[in-house]
Amino acid sequence: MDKKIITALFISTMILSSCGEDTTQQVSQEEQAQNDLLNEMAEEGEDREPEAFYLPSALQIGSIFQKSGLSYIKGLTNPPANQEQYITKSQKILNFGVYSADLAYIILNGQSQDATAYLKTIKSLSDKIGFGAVFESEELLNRFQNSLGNEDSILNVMIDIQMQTDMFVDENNLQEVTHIIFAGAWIEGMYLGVKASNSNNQHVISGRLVEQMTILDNLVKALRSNNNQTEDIEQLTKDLNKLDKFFIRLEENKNSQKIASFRDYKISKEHLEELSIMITELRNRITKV
Amino acid sequence: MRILLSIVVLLTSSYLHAQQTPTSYCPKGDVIIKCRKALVPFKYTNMVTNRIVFKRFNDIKEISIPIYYDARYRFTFNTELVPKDIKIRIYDKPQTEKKREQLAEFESSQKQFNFEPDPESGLSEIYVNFLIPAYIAEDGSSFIKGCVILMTGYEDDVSDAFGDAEGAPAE
Repeated sequence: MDKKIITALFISTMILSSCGEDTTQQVSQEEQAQNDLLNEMAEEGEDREPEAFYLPSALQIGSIFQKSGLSYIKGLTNPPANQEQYITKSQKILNFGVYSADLAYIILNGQSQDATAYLKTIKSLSDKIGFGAVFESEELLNRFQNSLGNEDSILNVMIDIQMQTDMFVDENNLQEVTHIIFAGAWIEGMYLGVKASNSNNQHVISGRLVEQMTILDNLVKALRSNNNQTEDIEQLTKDLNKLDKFFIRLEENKNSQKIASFRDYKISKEHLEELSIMITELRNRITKV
Repeated sequence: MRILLSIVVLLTSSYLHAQQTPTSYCPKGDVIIKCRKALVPFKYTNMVTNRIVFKRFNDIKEISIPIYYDARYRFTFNTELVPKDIKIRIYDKPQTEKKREQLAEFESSQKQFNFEPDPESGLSEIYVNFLIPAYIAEDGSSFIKGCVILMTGYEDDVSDAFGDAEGAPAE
């Protein structure tokens, strides 16, 4: 592309330098060449339509872990008070994702007494990252408040919030932001999975943790498609890519044992420990104040 | 000077063309409601707008969808906003793999359709291929665009008590 721009500029310069000459035919040919080149560049531009990356909701990820017996441990989530200390936009966006995963974890475990504080934190961050419109409806917040304590109703409200967020992102072309939000939510979901598992459910949870990593390929590609990467998001992408390579090793290990599904795959204690360390480091870097 | 002006005009129009918002060629308000209805009784998890650009050559656009091994999924595709016919094929492996199994095929003329992968398949990913035929617009220079809305829902244990998922039919 850079080469094309240089060529276009070169042709433009050549054309401009020949403006004073009375060579109509030559100018016409150059004009045609210029038009062809610009059309070709425009055509290449068409190829750069925003790519769609498929990423599930934080609620579904939480639901998968919860179904596998993940217990609730108070104090494991990122404290709402921390949000005041996130200064950069990347920190705010990533932690918007972290708090979304925390809210899903809290609600799915029936801890409605903490849910309001987390929703308020998410709302506050949403204003700071340009997503305020999603949460400005009083009706939505009232529905949330009124549904606390009723698991089905509150899940419906959460699903509606997710859908409104997706529509807002789509209408406003905020896909790049939503990929970063998802990265925060995914890392927090994995962190909760690593920390809240115990000897009774570890086998099932560890299978789920490995399964979650199938999302990594899409997530890394989505983050790489971001045209305006900040230094910290670039670093995050590298770290997630490292995690993806670790997952590829696990997948190869699974395939070498001729195991078709992650349901039947047993991750070794060493690999689980390695995964746990990587996830915890990543999560702590995002949430640190 | 005339040429300079023409370059400025062309560059400006290319820039403006590139900045064209997807909403302008993909007004999906009603379509989203139709998809939402078709998803019932599955729980909404995600919506993706797949931009479709008809180029002067045949093109295949592929997206991969990670799926959880024991979840039941419904993928609702709506193709009302695609201006020309395309095909949608779903595979168990990506294009780069020589041996792959086609799981389903749909024509965009169907307007809306559901795909539910077999939860027993053990697949951790499926691959959706959009087969976009070559097309040249009337004016010979511009490109025609559209979009396919893909909405996804999943089912959990509660639904087991209700038997097979029989939601509202795709419209």
